[in-house]
Amino acid sequence: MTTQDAPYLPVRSAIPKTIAIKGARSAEDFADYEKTKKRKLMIRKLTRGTIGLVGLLVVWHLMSVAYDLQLILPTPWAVLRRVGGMLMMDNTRWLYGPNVYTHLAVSFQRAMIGFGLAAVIAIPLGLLIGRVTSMREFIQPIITAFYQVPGIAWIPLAILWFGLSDKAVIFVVFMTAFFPLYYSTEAGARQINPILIDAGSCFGAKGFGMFYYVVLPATVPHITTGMRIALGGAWRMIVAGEMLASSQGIGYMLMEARFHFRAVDLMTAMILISIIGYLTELLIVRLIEKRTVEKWEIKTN
Amino acid sequence: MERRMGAEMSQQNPIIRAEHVDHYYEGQNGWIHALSDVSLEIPRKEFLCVIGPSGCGKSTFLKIIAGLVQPSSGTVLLNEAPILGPGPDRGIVFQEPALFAWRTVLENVEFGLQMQKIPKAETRKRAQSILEIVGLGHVMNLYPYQLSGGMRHRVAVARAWALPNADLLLMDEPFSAIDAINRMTLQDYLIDTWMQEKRTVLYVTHDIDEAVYLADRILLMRPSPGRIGRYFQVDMPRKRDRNSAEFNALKSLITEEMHKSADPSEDLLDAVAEINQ
Repeated sequence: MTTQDAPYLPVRSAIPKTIAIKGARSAEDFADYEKTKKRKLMIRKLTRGTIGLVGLLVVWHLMSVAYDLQLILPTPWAVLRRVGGMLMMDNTRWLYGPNVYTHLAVSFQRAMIGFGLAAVIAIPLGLLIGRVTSMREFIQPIITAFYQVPGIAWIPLAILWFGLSDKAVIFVVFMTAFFPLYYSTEAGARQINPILIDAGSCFGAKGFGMFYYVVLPATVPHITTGMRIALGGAWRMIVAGEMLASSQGIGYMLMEARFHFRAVDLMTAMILISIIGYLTELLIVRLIEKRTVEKWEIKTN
Repeated sequence: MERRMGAEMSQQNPIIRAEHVDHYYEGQNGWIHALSDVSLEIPRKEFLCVIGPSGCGKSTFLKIIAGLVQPSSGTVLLNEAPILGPGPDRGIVFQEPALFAWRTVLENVEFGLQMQKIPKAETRKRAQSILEIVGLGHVMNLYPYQLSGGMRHRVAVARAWALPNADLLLMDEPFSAIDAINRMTLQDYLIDTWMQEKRTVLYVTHDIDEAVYLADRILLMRPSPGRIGRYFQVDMPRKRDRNSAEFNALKSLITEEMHKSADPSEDLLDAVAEINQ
């Protein structure tokens, strides 16, 4: 086949139209162009996100009004007003003790204590079991057995042990936050590039030094992943725990709102949980990531 | 103090003495005889290059001296004492830089000294001066990801070189992943550093040009099973001229020997000779 027989290829259409810049083309032109493009993409992303959210709110509102469901499905506007009202400590029809901040603070404190305890125990244990075979062989089966029990199944036993108290709730939060932290840390420590361990030991790191200066930093990306999952779990469990085993906290507030048939307060509390959860993740995990993984540019493999 | 005196007294002894080392390991297709009856001595301050085709056990031998691998049989003595594990009395440079991503360049070089609890000020001073020698004084406070590949390898060399009590440096094809031009630059940095502070170097490579450029003595190993082949003494003064007739003559001699040793028919001839004896 000669070149004349070759099929016609529409080469021109392969050139994207977007690279057309009029006049002289300097590096600045391209930089400007890239900047504009990035901004446009950002605006588009925000617009789309907003449209989705507003769409949902409109459907919600329409359903609430059209079927006259305000009692069990209050309108978005009513919920929003209630969120504002609660945060301003407006006490109209307030049925839940002191004020919303007390409940949030109590829940937050419990979540942090449970999560903190889990972190303090699960991270060193995970590093140790990930690196030391004999430890793994002794302890891994125990942890695997406990892992099968869902966190929520510990609530009745926690009430028996600790009564309807802070401790019971903290205990179930601990049981929930422990496993994701432990398993990510353990997997991370086990999968460290062997050459880094070799380098560590060839340059004289051993025992605690090896764990502190080599194993821990090399595992940080996995640890932050574990933290993110554990924090999410902690927030879920705090609500479940407080519903059943406490007379304070945001979970208690939810349960009370149901008894009083106050759907608007229920939804308000749910929104507050979502916001607080987001903020804690931002504060704890993002802060650690900024100072470690992002600074060193290391990622999980 | 005692150790120092011991070291001075044994100045005449070789730093490494390997006797009848055999090593087997389990590969993908069964057990592999990596080293067979390897005996050798490395005199102090020698720059010894070990070359050979892949599978000749040269890296395994280096790992045994590093203490990362226990030989199946035979003895390896470092300063007349058996090697029990890895330690900061030997510096090592791996095939990949293996830097600690969470430490700056300076902190990476300080690592070995820090682990030995050498005072902070002394550690810093030494690390800085080594980094100046390898031409990285201006990037001391960057993290490894911010460096080019060649720079990372230089940091790895500096990290090994910074160990104050390491009389022996082990290098396992440290520049094999670097392009030819940069590799030559790195070799020059290495020789400069070595000339300024002479130590025993065991340098594993598969690049004949590199071996002839760097070494005092070259050991050619033969594959399957890995064993001692031939030694070549390199007496050319440094810095060596890669274009000189002497340089190229030695290169082609080693190349020829290497081809011969990689050829399985050679083994057959050996076996026939053995039977005939």
